[in-house]
Amino acid sequence: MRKIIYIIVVFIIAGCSSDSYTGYSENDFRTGTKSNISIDSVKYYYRDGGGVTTFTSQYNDYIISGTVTANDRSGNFYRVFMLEDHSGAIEIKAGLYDLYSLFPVGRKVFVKITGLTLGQEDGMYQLGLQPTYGSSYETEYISSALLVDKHIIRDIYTGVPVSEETRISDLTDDHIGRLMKIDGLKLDNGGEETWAYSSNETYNGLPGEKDIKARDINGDSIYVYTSGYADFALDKTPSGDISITGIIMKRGRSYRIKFRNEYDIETN
Amino acid sequence: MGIFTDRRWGKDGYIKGINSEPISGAFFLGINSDNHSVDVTYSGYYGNRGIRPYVTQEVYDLAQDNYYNPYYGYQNGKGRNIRSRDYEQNLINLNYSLKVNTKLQVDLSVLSIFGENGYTFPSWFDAMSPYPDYYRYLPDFYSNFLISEDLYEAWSTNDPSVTEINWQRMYETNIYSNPEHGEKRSHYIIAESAKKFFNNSIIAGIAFTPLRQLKLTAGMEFYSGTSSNFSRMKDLMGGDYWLDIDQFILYDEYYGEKAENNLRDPGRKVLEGERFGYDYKIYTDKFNVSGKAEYNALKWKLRGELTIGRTSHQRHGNYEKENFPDYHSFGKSVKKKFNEADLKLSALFSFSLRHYAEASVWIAQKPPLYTEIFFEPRCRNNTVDEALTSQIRSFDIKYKYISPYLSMELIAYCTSHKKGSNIFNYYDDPLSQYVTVALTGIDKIYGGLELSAEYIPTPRFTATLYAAVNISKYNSDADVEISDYNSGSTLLKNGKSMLTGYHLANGPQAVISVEGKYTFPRWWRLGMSLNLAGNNYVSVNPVRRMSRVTDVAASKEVLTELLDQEKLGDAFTVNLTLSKNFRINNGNYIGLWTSVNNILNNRSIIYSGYEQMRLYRTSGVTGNLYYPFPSKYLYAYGINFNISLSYGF
Repeated sequence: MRKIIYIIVVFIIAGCSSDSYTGYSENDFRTGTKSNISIDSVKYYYRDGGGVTTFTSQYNDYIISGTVTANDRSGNFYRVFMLEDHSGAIEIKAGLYDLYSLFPVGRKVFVKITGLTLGQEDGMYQLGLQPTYGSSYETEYISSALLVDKHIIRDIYTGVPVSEETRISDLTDDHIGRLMKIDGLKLDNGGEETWAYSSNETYNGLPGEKDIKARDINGDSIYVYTSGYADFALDKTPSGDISITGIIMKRGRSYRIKFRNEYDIETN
Repeated sequence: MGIFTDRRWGKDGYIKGINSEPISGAFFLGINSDNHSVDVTYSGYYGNRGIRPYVTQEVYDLAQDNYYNPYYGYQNGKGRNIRSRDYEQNLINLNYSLKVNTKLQVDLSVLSIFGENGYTFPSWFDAMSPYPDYYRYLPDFYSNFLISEDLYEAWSTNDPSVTEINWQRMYETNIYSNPEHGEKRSHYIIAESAKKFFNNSIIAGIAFTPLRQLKLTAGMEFYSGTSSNFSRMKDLMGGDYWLDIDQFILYDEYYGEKAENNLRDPGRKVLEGERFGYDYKIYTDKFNVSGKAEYNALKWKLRGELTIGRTSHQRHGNYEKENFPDYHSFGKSVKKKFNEADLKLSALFSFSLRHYAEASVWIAQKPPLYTEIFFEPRCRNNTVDEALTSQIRSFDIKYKYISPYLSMELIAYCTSHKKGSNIFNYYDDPLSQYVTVALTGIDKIYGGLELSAEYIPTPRFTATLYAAVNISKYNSDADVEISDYNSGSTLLKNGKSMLTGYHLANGPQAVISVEGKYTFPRWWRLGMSLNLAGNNYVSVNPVRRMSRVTDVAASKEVLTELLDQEKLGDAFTVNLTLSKNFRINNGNYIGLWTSVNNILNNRSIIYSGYEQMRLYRTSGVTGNLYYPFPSKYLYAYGINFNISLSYGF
C-alpha cells in the first residue's frame, strides 16, 4: 500500500508544471536597422516638382530614421507622430489610436518608405498611404497595425529630444515639423481664456480648436494652436511672459506652434 | 476505506492553446456498527484549462480554420493563451446515521465545499485591443484597398502578426510606456477574475417506516455560502505597476473625474498578486424544511415531496467606488429575501411486471441568483426593484416496457418557467455608451417527447435507440430597464423585448441516435452509433428585439436580419467504440477502452452560436440607422479519439 501511495505521489508531482513565460526587455527592441537617406532628401522628391510621390519599387528601398518628437499623448496631435533627424522633420500618418504607447517621445524609429506616399499639407510634409479615389488629401492614414509594422520599425529609446531655440523672425518653411522653443512670448488675452473651445462654445456641440496669437518683444507674432480634444484644452492660458516648446506648423502665411503638453509652456 | 487519485494531461489536437492538466483525488473512510455508521469523504479537484472564444464566420473563413483560436499566440517561442480558467474545489462530507430501530433512522450530514475559481482576462488602457479578431483589424473594415488587400494576403498566408495574439507588442508598449521617468505604467495586463467560495450545509433527516409499504421522511437544511469576488493582478507584462482606476470611465465627459476604483485607497499602484478593480463578498443563506412520503404497493408507487424555505442574498463591498460613493458601493447592501417552495408528486402504476406508467407533477417557486438581483455587483449595492422568484410548473408522463429482449421508455413532458430575470452589461450603440440592462418577466416554455429503447436479440448483440424532440421557446415579452453603467441613472424604463416565440439556445431540439454493440469472444466489444441532431438555434440578443432598434433598422432586409433567429445546420455523426479487458496473472485486470467520434470527420458542425450585442451605425436621412454585427459560433470537433486504460485490483 505504501508503495502504491509513493508511486501515486511521484506520478502527480512529476506531472505538475507551472506556466512561466519569458518576458521581453528593452534590448529585444534594438533592431540594428540602418537608414540610407535623410528626411530632407526624401522631401526633395516633392519639392523638386514631383509633388505627391508614391515610392513604388522603382525607387530605391529608402529607409529614413529619426527621433519621435511629438505624438498623440495629450490629444493635441491626432493619429500622427512627428519624426525628426538632423536634416528636418516629417509627420508620419500612422493612423492608429494611442500611438504614444508605442511611439513615445525620444524613441528612435525607422521608416521604410517603399509603398508609402509623400504629401504635404500647409507646408507640413507627411508620409502616409496613397489616398482613395476622390480624397481631397494628398496622403491617407496608414491605419492598419499590420502596415504600420511593415513600414515603421521601432527601435530603442534614445533620450528626450532637445528642442532648438529660435525667434519668430528667424522661422522659415524649413522649420515646419521641427521641435522648436521660442522664448519671451506673451499671449493675447492671456489669463482670460482657455487654450481651446469647449463643446458648449461651438455651434456643432463638439470641442473646437483655437489659434491664440503670441507676440514677442519685437512685435513679431505666431499662433499657438490647440485642439479641442487636448487634455489641456480647457486650461486657462497664462498671462505673463512665457516660452513655448512645440512643433512648428503653418497656415496660410502665418506660422503656428503646437505644443505637446503643459510642460511645454514655461512661465518666466 | 478508499483512496482515489487521477492525473490527466491533455493537449487539444484541434484548437491551439486548449491544454488541460487536471488533478483530482478522493479519500473515503467509513466505520459501521449495527446501529451506527459514520463516514467522512474528502475530494479535491484542481486544474487549469485554456479557453477558446466564439468567433464570427468571417474570421473562421479568413483563418481557413473552423477551430481558429484568437486567444493564442507565441511569447518568446512558447505558446500562450490569453484567457484560461483555474479551478480548485475541495469537498468534505461527514455523515452520521443512527438506526434507532427497524422503523426509524436518523441521518445527519455536514457538507463543506470550498476553493477558488479564476478566469484570466487581458485589460488595457490607451492601447489597441489585443484580440486579433477585433472587427477593426479585419480586411472588410477598411475601404482603402491597399489596407484590405494587405490584410487578406496576411490572413491567407496565416501570418501570425494578424492571426495571433501579439505578446511582444504588449510587452513593448509597457516597456516604453514611460521611458524618461523610469517607473513604467502597464498599458496591458493579464488579470484574473477570481471567486473564493466557502459553502457549508448541515442537513438533518429522519426516516420513519411505519408500514412496509410506507416510508415517511422529514428533513431540514441550513446553508451558508460566502463568496469573495475580486480581480487579481497576474502579469504586469514588463510594466512596473497598474493604476487602480476605472479606465472605462476615464474619458467620460461627466464621470471622467470619478474613476477611482477604491476611494479608500486612491491612486493605488497595483503590483502582481494584489487585488484591484473590484472586491466584494456575497453572502447567501438558505433554510428549508422538507417532508417526503413514499407509498409502495403491489401495483402503485406514490411519492410526494414538499420543501419550503427561505433564501437571502446580501452584498458587502470592500471597495468604495468613486462614481458610486459611500453605501452605494461600500459596506453591506440591503438583504434581499425570497420565499421558496417546491412540490413534487408522482404516481407509478404497474399494469404488469413488464408495463409501467408514471405521471409526475412539479410546482416550484425558486429564488433568483444574486447575479439576477444586483445591477452590477462588481461596482455597487443597488438591486433591481422587480427581483422576483421565478415560477416553475412541470408535468411529465412516462411509459416503460421491460422484457428480456426489449426495454423501452417513452416520456412526454411540458415545463413552464415564469418570471425569470437576467442582468448584463454591454456597449449600447444607439446610446453610444456602456450600459447595464435588466430583463425581468422572462417566461420560457419547454415541451417534448423522448423515446429510448434497448433490444437484445442475442447475448452478444445490443441495439439501442434514443430519439427526442422538444420545443423550447420564450413565452413572453421581457420587461427591459437600461441604466448608465457609470452613474446607475435610468436611461430607459418599461421597455419591452419582443422575445415571444423565439427558440431557446439549449442545444439541438431534435435528436436521434442508433447504436449497436457486439461482444466478441475473449472480452472484445465493438460498438457503432449513428447520430443526427437538428433544430439547433443561435442564442437571441434580447436588446435587438426592441422597438428602439427595429425602428431604426437600416433597411427592410436589415430589419429581417435583426428579427430572424438563425437555425444552425443539422449534424450527422458516426462514432465507434472498442473495448477489451485483459485478465492478468494475479487476478487483477487491465481494461482498454477506445472511441473514435465523428469518424466521417465532419468539420462544419456548428455546436452553438450567439448574436452579438453591438450594432453597426450608418447615417441616414432621418438620422442614424443600424444593422447587426454578425453572430459568433463554436464548431464541434472533427474526428477525435479517446483511449483509456484502467487497472483493476
